[in-house]
This record gives sequence, C-alpha cells and structure tokens, in this order.
Amino acid sequence: MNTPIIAFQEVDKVFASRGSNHLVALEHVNLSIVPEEFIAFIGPSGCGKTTLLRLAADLEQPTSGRITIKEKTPEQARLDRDYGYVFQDPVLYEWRTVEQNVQLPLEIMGVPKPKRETRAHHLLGLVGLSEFSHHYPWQLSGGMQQRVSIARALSFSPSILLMDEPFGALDEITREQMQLELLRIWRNLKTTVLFVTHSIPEAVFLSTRTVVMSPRPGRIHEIIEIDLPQPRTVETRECERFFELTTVVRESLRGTENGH
Amino acid sequence: MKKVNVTSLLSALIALAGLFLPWVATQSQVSGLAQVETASWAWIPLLALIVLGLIGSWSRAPVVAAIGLILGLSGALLALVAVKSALATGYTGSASLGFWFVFLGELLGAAGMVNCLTTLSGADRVTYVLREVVPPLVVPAFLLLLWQGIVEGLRVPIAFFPSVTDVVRVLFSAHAVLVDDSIHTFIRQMLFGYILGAAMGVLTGMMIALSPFLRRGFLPLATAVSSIPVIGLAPVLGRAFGVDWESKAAVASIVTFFPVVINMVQGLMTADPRKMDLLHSYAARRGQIFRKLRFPHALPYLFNALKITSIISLISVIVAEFLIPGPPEGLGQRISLSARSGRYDITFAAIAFASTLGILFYGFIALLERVFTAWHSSFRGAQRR
Repeated sequence: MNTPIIAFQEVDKVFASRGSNHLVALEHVNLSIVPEEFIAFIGPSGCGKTTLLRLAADLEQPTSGRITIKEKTPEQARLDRDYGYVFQDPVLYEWRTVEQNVQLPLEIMGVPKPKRETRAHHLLGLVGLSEFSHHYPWQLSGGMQQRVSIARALSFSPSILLMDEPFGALDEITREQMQLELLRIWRNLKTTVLFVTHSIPEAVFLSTRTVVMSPRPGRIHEIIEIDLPQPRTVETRECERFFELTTVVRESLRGTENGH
Repeated sequence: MKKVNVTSLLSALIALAGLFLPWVATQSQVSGLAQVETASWAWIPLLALIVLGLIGSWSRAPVVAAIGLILGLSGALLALVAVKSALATGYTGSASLGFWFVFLGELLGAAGMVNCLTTLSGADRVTYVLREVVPPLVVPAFLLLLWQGIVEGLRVPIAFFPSVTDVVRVLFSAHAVLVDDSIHTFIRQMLFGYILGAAMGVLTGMMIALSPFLRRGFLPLATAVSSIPVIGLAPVLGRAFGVDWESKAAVASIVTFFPVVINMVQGLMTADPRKMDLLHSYAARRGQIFRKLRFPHALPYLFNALKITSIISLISVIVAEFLIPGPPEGLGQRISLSARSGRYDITFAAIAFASTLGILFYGFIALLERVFTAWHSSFRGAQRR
C-alpha cells in the first residue's frame, strides 16, 4: 500500500490582506501520507498546521501547488464525503440532542432514519456515551462533548479523519483517556488520521509519524518516524523509547526557533 | 431575647393612637370613632388587631410575620370600611387624622411584615412560599388598598381619579361592552395586523438573508424606516385604509414587520462559522444549511422581536384608535370617549382590559419561545457549564 491517500505537492498558501501585508501561511509543503497512517502535526502558533488541515478539507484553497486526496481534488473528496473533520471545540448544535448531533451528517447525506439511529447508537457505544443519547450538549462535560463530536465525525465512516487540536481544551486525565480511545478507534476502523496538536507527548504517543513545522512562513521542518510498537497502551508512555522520541521532537522544535 | 421589631411596634402604636383621634370632621363637630355611632362597631375588632400586632412585634418567627401581615391588611381594610360608613352618614368633609393614623399604621405594619418575609432564610417549603410566593402577591393587594384608602378618605371624585371599587364595579356591570371592545381591538385589529406583519417579516427576512443584493440594498433602508415612529403616520393610513379596523391593523402590521425583518436577518446571518464549515465538510446544499443551521439559529432572535412587537403593536392599535376615530368601538375609543366625559372609572376598566390582554399575549409568545427554543442559553440557567 504505497499509493499515497493524501499528497501535498509544493503547496503554498498566502492570505492576502489589504495593502501589501501578505501573510505567507504555508510555503513549499511536500508531504505524502499512505493509508492507515497516523500523522501528527506539531509546531509553534502560526506555523500553518490548521491551514494545512483546512486545505485538505477544501475549506481553503491553496495559492499554488497541488493537493490530491485519494487521487482526487480536495473538492471532489469533500463532495464524496471522504473525510470527517473534528475541531478544537466540539461545535455541537445546541438545539439537537447528543444522538441527533451524531446523526447530523447522515441526515445531510440522506441516510434513512432507522439506519441513522442504528448507526448513532453504535457510535455512542463506541465513545462510551450510550446513556447520554437523549441529553443536550450543555448537559455534558467538555470531554463528553468532544467525544460526541468524534462520534459525529465517524458516523459516516470516512476513510480520513482530520483533527484540529481535538483534545486541546481538555484536562490531562481526560485527554490521556481520549487518546487511548482514539487509538482504539483508529485500529478498529483502519482510518487515516491527520492530527494537529500543541503537545509533544501527545504527538509522540499517538502518531506513526510526527511532522514538525516552523513558523513564518509555515514550512515542514522535519518529519520524525515514531517507531513505538503498536498497539500503544498506558505503559507506552513510560518506556524509554517514548522519552527518547519526545526529546527528539522537542529538539527539533527548538531548531525551528533558530531559523533553518 | 430577640430584638424588638421596631417597624411593627411603631406602626401598631401609630394605629393605636388613631383609635382615640377624630375619624370624621364637620364644621360643627369633631368626633372620635367611639362617638361616630354608625362606625363604632369597628372599634373593638380594630383594638384587638392592634394589640395582637403589638404582641407580634416581639417575635421574628415566620409564622408570626405571616399572621402580622394578615392582621395589618385586614386592619387597614376594616378601617376603610368603617370610615366609609361613617362618611356615608351625612358628613361632607373627608376623613380626619384618626382614620389616617389607623389606616397608614396598619399598612406600614403589613409592609414591615412583608419585609420580614423577604429576608427569611431556610429551604423548607413553607419558608419558600412565604419568601418567594407571598410578597409578589401581597404587594399589588397592598397598593390597591392604599389607592382605595386615599380615594375614599379624601373623597376624590370619579372625574378626577376613580377608586378601585369604582373600576371593579364597571368591570362587572359593563363587561359585555368591554369584551366586545377587546375583541374588536385585540383580535380584529391587533392580532390580525400582528400575524400579518410577523409572517411578512419572516419571509422578507429570509429573502434578504439569501440575497446579497437585498441585504446590501434593502436592509439599511429597512433599518432606517424602522426608526420612524409609524404611529405618526396613522392619519395617513386612515386615509388609505379607511377609518374602520383596516387602518389600525395596518399600523399593527407595520410596527411588527420591521423589527421582525431586522432580527430575522441578524439571526440568519450570524450562525457560527465553524458550524458552517462543518456542514460544508459534509457537502451540505444551501437549502440544508438553511434548514439545519441558519433557521434554528435565528429562532431566538425571531422570538425576541415577536415578544417586543406583541406589546408595541397593542399600544399602537390603541393609540391609532385615538388618532383615527372610527365607529365607537374598541378599547382605545372607549378610553378616549370615557375620559372626555369624565367617566374615569370606565377609562381605567378599559385600561385594565388592555393591559391584561397585553400581558396574556406576551405570556403566550414567551411560552411559544420556551417550547421552540428550550435549548437556548437563556433557559438553561445553572445547568450551563
């Protein structure tokens, strides 16, 4: 399986603003991702991690270069519902119950009601929220809300998950729990994950490759192979190789500050 | 021992003094309550009430406060009945110092008790009812009693200010006319215009939200027009739609239309961009984005406009009846006709009908709001994280 599922080729993204203050968000980005990889993007603020994800999702257009997703344009991939997107905040619809939130993408896609309900039920089980299906989002804690948003992204079984700091707003304990759940889901569903994070241990623990990015202009600084054994467990965080790799990533990040 | 409740002690003493002062006065004679034959029956129960109040002022127990409240209000009522019957026996002047001491002393005592009730602490059911439920019910009764006492005691003529009982009498004797007036004003004019204006407003708001041309070109104009006091145009509308109900309904629909349009557009245009991105990522069509996101998001905005305009449109219809006098029916006409002939009891009764309708209608819209936007943060209260 060496055909890339996602490929960035010489991608530039410039945000034009009034006057001549153009902001170069991304420059010369080249990256190939093969199916079932778990790619973490890490870097200081303003390095274009989120922009990279939004380009892949067809929520922004590249200024130059080419992005292919499953050998299609991002727009076609979006129309084919190839990916699920998870934001930093849960972005749930307040007027819908948990169950109805999970069903939202399926409603848009015209899936018949009985099938939607079975699917929502199954996914809420997967993220451990079966008892809360009739609750409204505001009755749930932040961690639970984020699990709903993950269930929603998985509801239509996309082959790609784009996750933009999904655990950023969670406390440490909930966050580690969610990381384990996410890895379980990833193994079971055999999806490809693009995961933006600010946390070095999170990137190392989750990913198969960690992409270190540098800011102004946003570039890929280094790609680090994370050769920790699968499946990862609670013990993974305590093994020596884990610490070695976090040090490698940390030093690479430090390198981004001193220019390249 | 607990501190003496100064307010209730003082008010009981004032009331007690009033028993020995003259209640009614004429040029020739000054008489205390005991000497006013027809009213002397009130002396003993009043004394009893006041003594009980005196005793009660040494305690701050909730039950005592509640009893004190009843004592105070019934004392004031008793004094009122007594002075009324005394005045009715041929005295021409107004009530004298004795009555005012007893009446105001008892009311002051009752007010002190309400104050005690509002500061109660405790979570049991009785305390809760005494603290939260009783005061808002008692205070209006209290004010009505004060109103009645002042009008009766000073013998204010109806053509200057009616008493509560004058108004209540009209509410009963003329209720058929007032109900007809209400149907005319509320249903035929206000409700018709309101529903028409709101429906047009919702549709126009949707059109504006969907069309950048209308949004840029028409919305600023709508905002400007909405600040025109439409009621000033009533005579013009009267010319256009005739002096009958149609012109008033037109006023109601215009005052409803613009706020609904503006709020609707605002609601439809301010949906969370991330929620928008999300639907975009599912490749949702425009109509789906509208149904699943923009419209539900706009509902709280819409209900805000509907609540405000429910009151504005009723007021506007009533004022329009003043400005475009047509056939003599409707609450606005009733108000202006009765006021012109000095029948303020009828005026007040008509106003009572109008405000009751306004409150009920507002309550109805608020109820609809609760049903349709129960998810909105304004209804979640403490549940919100």
